[in-house]
Amino acid sequence: MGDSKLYTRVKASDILTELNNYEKKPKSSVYRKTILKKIIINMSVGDNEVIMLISQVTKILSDLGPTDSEIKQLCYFYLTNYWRHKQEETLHALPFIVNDYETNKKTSDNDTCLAIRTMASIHIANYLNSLVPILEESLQREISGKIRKTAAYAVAEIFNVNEKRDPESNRRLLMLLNDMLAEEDDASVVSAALSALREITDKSDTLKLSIDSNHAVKLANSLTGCGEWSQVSILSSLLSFISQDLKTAAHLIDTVLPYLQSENSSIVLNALKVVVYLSHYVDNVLDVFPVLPQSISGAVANLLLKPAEIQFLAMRNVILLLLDKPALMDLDIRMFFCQYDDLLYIKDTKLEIIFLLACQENMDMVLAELQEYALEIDVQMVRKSIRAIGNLAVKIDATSDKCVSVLADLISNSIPYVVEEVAIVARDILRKYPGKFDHLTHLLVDRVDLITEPESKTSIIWILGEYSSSISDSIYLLKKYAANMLEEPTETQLALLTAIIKAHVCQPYNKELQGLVENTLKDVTQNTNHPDLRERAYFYWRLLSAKLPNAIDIIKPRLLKLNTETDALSPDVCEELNLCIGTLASIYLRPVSQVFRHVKPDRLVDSPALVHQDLKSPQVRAKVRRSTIRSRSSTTTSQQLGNPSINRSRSSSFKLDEIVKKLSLKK
Amino acid sequence: MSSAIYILDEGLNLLIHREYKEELNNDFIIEKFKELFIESLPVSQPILYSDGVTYVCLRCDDVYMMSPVYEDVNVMRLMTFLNKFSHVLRSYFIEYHFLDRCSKRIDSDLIKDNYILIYELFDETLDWGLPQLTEFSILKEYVKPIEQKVVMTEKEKDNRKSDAAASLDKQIEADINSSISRASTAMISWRPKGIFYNKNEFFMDFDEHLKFKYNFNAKKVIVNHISGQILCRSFLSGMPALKLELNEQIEQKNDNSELLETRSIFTNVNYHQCVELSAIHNSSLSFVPPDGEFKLLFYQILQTSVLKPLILVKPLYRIFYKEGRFILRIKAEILTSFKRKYSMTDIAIKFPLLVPLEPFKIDFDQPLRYKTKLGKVTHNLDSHSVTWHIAKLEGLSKGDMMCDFQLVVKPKLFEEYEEDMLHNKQSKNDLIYFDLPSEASNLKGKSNNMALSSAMENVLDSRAENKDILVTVAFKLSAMLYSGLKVNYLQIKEPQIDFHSFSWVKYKTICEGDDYSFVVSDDQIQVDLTEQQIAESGNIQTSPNDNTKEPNFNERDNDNNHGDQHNDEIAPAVQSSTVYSYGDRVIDFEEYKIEGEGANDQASGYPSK
Repeated sequence: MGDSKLYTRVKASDILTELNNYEKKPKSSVYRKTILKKIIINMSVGDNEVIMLISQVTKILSDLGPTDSEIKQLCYFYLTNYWRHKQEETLHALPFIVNDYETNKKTSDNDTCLAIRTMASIHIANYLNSLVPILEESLQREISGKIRKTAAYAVAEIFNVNEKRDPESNRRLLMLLNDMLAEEDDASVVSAALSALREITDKSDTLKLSIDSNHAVKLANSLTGCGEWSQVSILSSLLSFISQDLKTAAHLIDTVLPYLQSENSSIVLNALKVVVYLSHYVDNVLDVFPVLPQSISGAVANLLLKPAEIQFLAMRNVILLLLDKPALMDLDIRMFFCQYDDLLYIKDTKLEIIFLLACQENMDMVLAELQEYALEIDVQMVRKSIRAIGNLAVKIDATSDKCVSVLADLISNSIPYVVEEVAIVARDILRKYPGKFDHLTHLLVDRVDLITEPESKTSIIWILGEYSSSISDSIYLLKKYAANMLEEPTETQLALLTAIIKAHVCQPYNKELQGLVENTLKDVTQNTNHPDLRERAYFYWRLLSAKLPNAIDIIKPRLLKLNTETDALSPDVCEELNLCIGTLASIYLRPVSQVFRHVKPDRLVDSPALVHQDLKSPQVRAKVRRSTIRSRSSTTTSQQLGNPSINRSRSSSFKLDEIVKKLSLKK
Repeated sequence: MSSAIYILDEGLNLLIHREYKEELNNDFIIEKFKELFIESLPVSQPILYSDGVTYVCLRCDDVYMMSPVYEDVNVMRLMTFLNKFSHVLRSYFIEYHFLDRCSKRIDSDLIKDNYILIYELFDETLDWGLPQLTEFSILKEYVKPIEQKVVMTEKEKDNRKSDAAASLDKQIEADINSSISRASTAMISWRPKGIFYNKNEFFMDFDEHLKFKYNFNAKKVIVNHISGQILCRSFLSGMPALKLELNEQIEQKNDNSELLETRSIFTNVNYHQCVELSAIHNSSLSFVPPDGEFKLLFYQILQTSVLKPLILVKPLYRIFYKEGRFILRIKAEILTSFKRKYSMTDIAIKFPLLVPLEPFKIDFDQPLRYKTKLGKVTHNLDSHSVTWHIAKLEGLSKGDMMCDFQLVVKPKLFEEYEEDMLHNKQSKNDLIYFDLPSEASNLKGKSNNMALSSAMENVLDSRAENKDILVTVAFKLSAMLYSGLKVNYLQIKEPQIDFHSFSWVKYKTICEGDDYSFVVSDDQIQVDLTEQQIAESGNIQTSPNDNTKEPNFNERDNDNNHGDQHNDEIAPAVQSSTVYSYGDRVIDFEEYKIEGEGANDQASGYPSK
């Protein structure tokens, strides 16, 4: 029987009359069950009118609950949802639940858990009064694991409410949980106790969860013996362990490392988090674990095979690692090349990673790939890839020639949106390399008619103003733009005004420009309503009429050097984010406190083993590693064999470069 | 830790929800989410943010699972959970649960039908928003769909009638297996204790899917990836420990010893949770399998430069003029390069139908003519292509195919169409070029039937802009894997019960859809016509016996040395065994290698040379 025919919103009063009608009839239990289902459905779809039926529901619970566990479940569910609004009525159900617990505690784990769970979700004093002894009983060793697990979570759930009511009992419960940590053998119960304690300490200002090294090792070893979600909790609780010496940290990394290959992506990321965290406590971590980059990259590759949503999360974390500790990864950039059926946000994120991974050595390959994206049909993708090429030109000086020639290539097709996007990136490129790429300006100016979008218009106008003396028909173009100035958006108007004045101060004796300046200033001051624009026009006007000798320094100052390090995060933020792998902060790439208020930011805690090492640049890493290997090779020959993977990956990337070179030659 | 889970239908209306934290204003959350979701269309991000609330959302077939988050949580855990939960739902509804209507997707009706079951699942899988258990094989012991039991008993009755003895065995098995106490907190959470089978069997299916792309423009293999998996079905009693050894290195272990020899062919490997990750040695792994079906591992191999492509296709498109008719001829040669003892089945090679010359269109009024010794050739209208079907092909063999279409010029098409309209007739050309597209655009106006209309647009524009012309091959190859992977041995040991077990291993390599493709270059499209012929093509159609054009045609041919071998018309293209000549170019198989990988062929065990 499908329940979908019940799936409609019904008025609570109708249900009530229906219920009253059936109460007297024989076999009323079947009807009442159906009606209960209707109530639950109304609750599911968010129709809160059914609140008023609470006394009916408790009646059904006490009548039918003992025999029909499905009814019991549904009623419990109803109560946990609505107890806040009808505390009086909810109290009527308490004896039943306690009774339910008492009768089932020896026989059925599931029912016992259900009862505990329900009581713990209802924060009324009477409920708590009966729950606390139950919990104390359930946390004892001889009870089955499943119940102890649920009880542990229940403690966390009621802890804050109970604190005000009866701090004494809270201390007892906390002690019980603590004992569980120390003495328990069942790893999944330990993990439940850990998450419970973690939740309690997160919310409280005075308590703090700390794990000593013996315990941390024990926890790590217990990972093999428990289910996947327990592994996740244990892994994330390992972050509360502050390593006092290198050896323990190294040992833990070694234990956790295999979990990077788990099928469960959450385990993978949490293991990664633990590894990254502990690597702060191991000096020269890459010498101790030469496999580390390889393993992490393998894990990343695996995550990229998951559904899009998970890929997205994984890649955000890759970006985080790339920003701070690229040396920990040995990624093959081709892994992030877009597939045609990737969703847009995946392509987006991949482009970001490609941008971060691009360096002088792989530039040919990257550019070939980006150029291919720029020829796609999807306009958004085209724009983004062009922007990426432009940013690469600004980022890496040595290959800017190649980037610009690709851009020039793209413009030559005269597709409007391509030209528009190139115009936007051209501004930064021209600023970064003054005088180097004048041909790009000319290509753009030739196609200036194709540009209609405000942002790129603003950009091309800026170029016209800045380089007016080297562009032959700049005056003509500025004039053309000035003709319909008043229809443009403010941003463009401002840019245009500035550009015209700039052009004027560069060529002060140009008659045509003088006329243009006069007209524009007059036009703007008289006809525009926008205060910023008008003010700026007046400002220029006065500046020009004052005939200051250094007006040019004010109007067209020497450009500041473009800072390419803007994408780097501050070290503080990086340190904090490193401890947030897999959490929301890693998605936004912002410190926790900016996204969520009332959250304690995590910090690396100082300990004798804490080291600050530079894992920033992959190149440095390679050099350092090679030299250390050389120095050690005299003592142990086997040590040198530790690195064939590096050599191999290098050689293969060389080969690829060759292939790409040949490709371009053939073309 | 999630504060609530909502399941929404396709229109983002609330179907079912479960709250774990303080009371939430559901209507407000759903409304806000809807707003954000629509804002970020066409493809919404999985993480949306507004006013301090983060909405984590995962699409599962036709429904969405969404969870609002108020604090900095382990979002990967949440997302992984949602993903696993969707798998659980799928297992319940589609693989395991038989409803009357066989839906292959999870949709809102399924959720509505089984909402009680889903509440129970929420209860079991989450404790206060913390994931506990998402392993279907265990969950199904706690949460049982009601329908399932009914069907089971009916099945058992049937069994009893047909084969009493067998069903008795089954009965015993079922009884023993159903009375097992199953605990989620045990060491091995994926396998309950005390499973019993009369006959102990273990099946392993090795499947490999290839992604292959050869570009005739660049004359090299662009993509050649393998993604493979080992699917197992286990019917073993007790707690068996299995040990599997493959002929290849699985792990790259950078321990300090004997490293240079160990080189894995796998780019990355993903294990089922039953595999003991800490006990993977060289090429062997040990595991305690779950009961029933599971995926032991899946892997990707990206470095395939030492492997030869399994099958090669060389297409040639040619337009020429003969006896008053313009003809498009598609010629293809294929060659297989695996060992002779294996054979490929269900091969379908698909050639897109394109006419590289503007005024010409394919004349569908004339039947398709083809000639081949292998299989048959059909025209498919929906994808505007020709498919060459071959039932079976042996290793190290070759074959060829040739098929002709007559061409007609565009103005002529219009003329005929009008004439047919006048006579109230409908020829095949009219149908394909005029009536179907207009029908499709009608449909497009009403409902967004994108697939159909885009196919129709392709019919009209024979060559979509900027798109590669792809010749694709689909095939199945059983009994061997492209990577050459093999099982060295499989050991099944149960410490307590001493049983005799049977293990079965199957290998299969599969290619479907666009996975195996060749990008056609301009070299392979020949137009053997003169300007004049093209210009006058309209007239030629009407007066086919115009002899003056004929010498023109030959003259051009002699100039270019192109069409000589194609001139003797239907003679099958017999050519030397390894070297193929192509116009004035010579192709042999050396070119299929990736450059820069010259001396790398020594790997043994591959089905090469």
